[in-house]
Amino acid sequence: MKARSRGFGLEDGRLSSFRPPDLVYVATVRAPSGPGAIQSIHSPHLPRDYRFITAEDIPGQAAMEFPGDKVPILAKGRVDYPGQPVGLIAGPDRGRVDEAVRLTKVLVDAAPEDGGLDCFGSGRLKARAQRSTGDVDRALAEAATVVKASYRLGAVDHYYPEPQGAAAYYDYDRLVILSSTQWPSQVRRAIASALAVDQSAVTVLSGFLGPHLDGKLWYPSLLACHAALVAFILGKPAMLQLSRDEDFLYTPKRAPLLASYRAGMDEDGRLCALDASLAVNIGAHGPLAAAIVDTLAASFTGPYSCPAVRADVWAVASDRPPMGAWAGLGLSSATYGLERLADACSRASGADPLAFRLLNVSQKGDTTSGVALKQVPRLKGVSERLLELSDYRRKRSAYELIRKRRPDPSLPPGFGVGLAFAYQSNDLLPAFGNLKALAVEAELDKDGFLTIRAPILPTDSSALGVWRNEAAAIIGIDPKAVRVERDAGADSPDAGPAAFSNAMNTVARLVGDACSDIRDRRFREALPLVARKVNRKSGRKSSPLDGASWAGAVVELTLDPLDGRPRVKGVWLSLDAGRVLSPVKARLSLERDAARALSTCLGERFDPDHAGPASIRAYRISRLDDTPPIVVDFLDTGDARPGGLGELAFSCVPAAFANALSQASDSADSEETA
Amino acid sequence: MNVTFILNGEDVACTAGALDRLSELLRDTFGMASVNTDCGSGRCGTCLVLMDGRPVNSCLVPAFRARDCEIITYEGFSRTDDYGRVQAAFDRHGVDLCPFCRPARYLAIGSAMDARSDSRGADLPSVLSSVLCTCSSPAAVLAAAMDALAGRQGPRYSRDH
Repeated sequence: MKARSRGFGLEDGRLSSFRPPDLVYVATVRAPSGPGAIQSIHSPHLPRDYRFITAEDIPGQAAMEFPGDKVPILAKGRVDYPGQPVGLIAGPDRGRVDEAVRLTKVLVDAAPEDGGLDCFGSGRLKARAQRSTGDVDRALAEAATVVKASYRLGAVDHYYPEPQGAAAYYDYDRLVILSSTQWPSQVRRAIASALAVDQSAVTVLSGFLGPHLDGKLWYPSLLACHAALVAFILGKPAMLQLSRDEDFLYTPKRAPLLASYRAGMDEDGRLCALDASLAVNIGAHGPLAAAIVDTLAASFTGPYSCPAVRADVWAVASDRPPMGAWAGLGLSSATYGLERLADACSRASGADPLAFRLLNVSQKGDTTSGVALKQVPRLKGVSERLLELSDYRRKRSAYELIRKRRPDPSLPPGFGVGLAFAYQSNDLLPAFGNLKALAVEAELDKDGFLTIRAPILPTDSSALGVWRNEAAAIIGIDPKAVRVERDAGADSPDAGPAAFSNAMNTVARLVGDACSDIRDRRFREALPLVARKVNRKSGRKSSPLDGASWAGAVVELTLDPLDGRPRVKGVWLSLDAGRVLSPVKARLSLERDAARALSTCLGERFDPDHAGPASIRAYRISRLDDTPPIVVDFLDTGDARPGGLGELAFSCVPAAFANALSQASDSADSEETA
Repeated sequence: MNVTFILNGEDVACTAGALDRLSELLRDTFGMASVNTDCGSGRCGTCLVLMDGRPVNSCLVPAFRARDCEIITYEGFSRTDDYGRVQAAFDRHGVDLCPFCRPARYLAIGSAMDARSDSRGADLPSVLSSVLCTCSSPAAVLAAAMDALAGRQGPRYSRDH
């Protein structure tokens, strides 16, 4: 029998709107220091209706399992990092619950460990990936010029519109979870394992996701387990919502990166060798460590051709809270390092940065990525449009002249313009779930209404509107006659994270295929018409560059003569992402992403080793009036397939900014030319 | 202490503690779901309400300060003609704000619409910047706000007359 809903769903998707009768609030008791053994936990005497819950109360598995790592739901005996949850206090009054958490004392025999990336032993390795083609050492020895460079990327907070949290309640015999998660199947699996119940007894409703930047892949599962545990033990609706400070200090950030390169070039400035060592600080737990190092290793050469390449990529554990993904699971970090290196190489070879890139871009049949390229990376059109929009060549020449002829070389030139390219590929992203399990069903009924049933749906209403319009245009009906439903029952296979671009693009393609099928049969067969399309990916391996979306960014800045801070004068983005389904929405989302990507370069500084309550006040996200003019332009290449857009600005804008800053300050992070 | 004030055009009375914030009072006592209580430090600006016509971060206002004031929240603003103008402007520009910043941003624009100063358009970026949210294109939000402002000529009423 189908359970009747008690209607506690969130009207606007906000967790803070969850206010059912008998609600108990949940707050987290955290370790004050770590790592180390828990000596004692002293909780105050709690009134009736209040409960202190520890790892001992978990009826099932006490840890969430991921490939290569386990994440304890609540620490037991030992904590791995300061701030790790060791207990939960639940009760009907939020103020009292918070007060009880403040009065609870956790004593930890802490022994802080080294968390740096400059020196680490094998004991700290969480994951490792290697990639190699050709004889790199020999190619470097024979190169006319060798450039050594290293670059760092720091931790960045995702700053979600609503601090993370979860709610849980019983709808008769089913446990319903409200969670703002990218991966509902993972939440369901984790809760079923923790409570030792069948997955079919757990329903996960997705809340408002907002711009998540791939930060809600696994952490919502931990919070959902906490809320579910309280609901399971107390038998009442439970809600756990982190405070803004907790969210800032303890949820996963972008994993800091140290990228070290040796690049060899011949007399013409062509890359002949590339040796990369990439290390990311993954924090105490690394549920995504393997995925991040694999993506870094697969993408470290970018669109450039090089006969001898080698990468050694490490995910290094530390005693800090878990670090995670940021817009593309490492692709944006790899692009940053590579595009910085490209500028360093162009300086060393005396070439213009754009000319150097175009000289080294891969051609059809190139095997640098491990598989022969079928298409030439579409950088030429992107770069031509970018030059047109930004007036890059004139600015670059003028600023170089200023740099070389400034009267006092000890002072920075103060003007800079930088460019960088990036790509986004579905084939780079790891398949967390079973993408082959993705299936879409479309049904055109006798009344002319089209119903689309898909296992995962876009997380924002505008993207859903784009699907509706696309389906309506294919079949030739009114968009208002298109309904889109989520078809994810208890038995449906885990297709991986929703809102994850590889799965979402696949589903969008299947929707188009199903609608085309119905269109072809529409006036030849009787209604209703049903078309079902299942993802059948070719077994042949293809290069991640084939079918990718491409972007180029130019950033122009000046250094303030008084305080030396960079002032960005403008950002220009040119993109080739295939057919753009909704030009206005696409432009707005790229403007938003570029503004945020720029913000990460300007005031968003977070040092995990010295994080404290004051960190959030020092962490400055750019506000509306800080944003410089941003110009976004899409190339119309006639490519029928729509490509992904969500990661492009985060990949190319920071690198373009840093390249401009190098010119304006006449310095680079750490470069050496031999 | 007892606090009486006008909330969205209605006289209301309640009891508030000395340390209660206006944001908590509005959300918990009067069920104003649009008022967020996330940061409690005035940083995010998503608890913005109009207090005697001026935008304030209600998390920084003690509840007792509302006594004898007129408070307008998003729930009240959404019943006005100005709301329709702001909504129409955002629709024209294709901007879909998230449910967390929409109330505060709409109210900020609404307060600028009522401002008597000729420089209200120039002040708009800084007024909108008081709301910290990364859900939308900043340029598009500003363009939509300016559009809404242009659609409303002059103040709705003048306290001088």
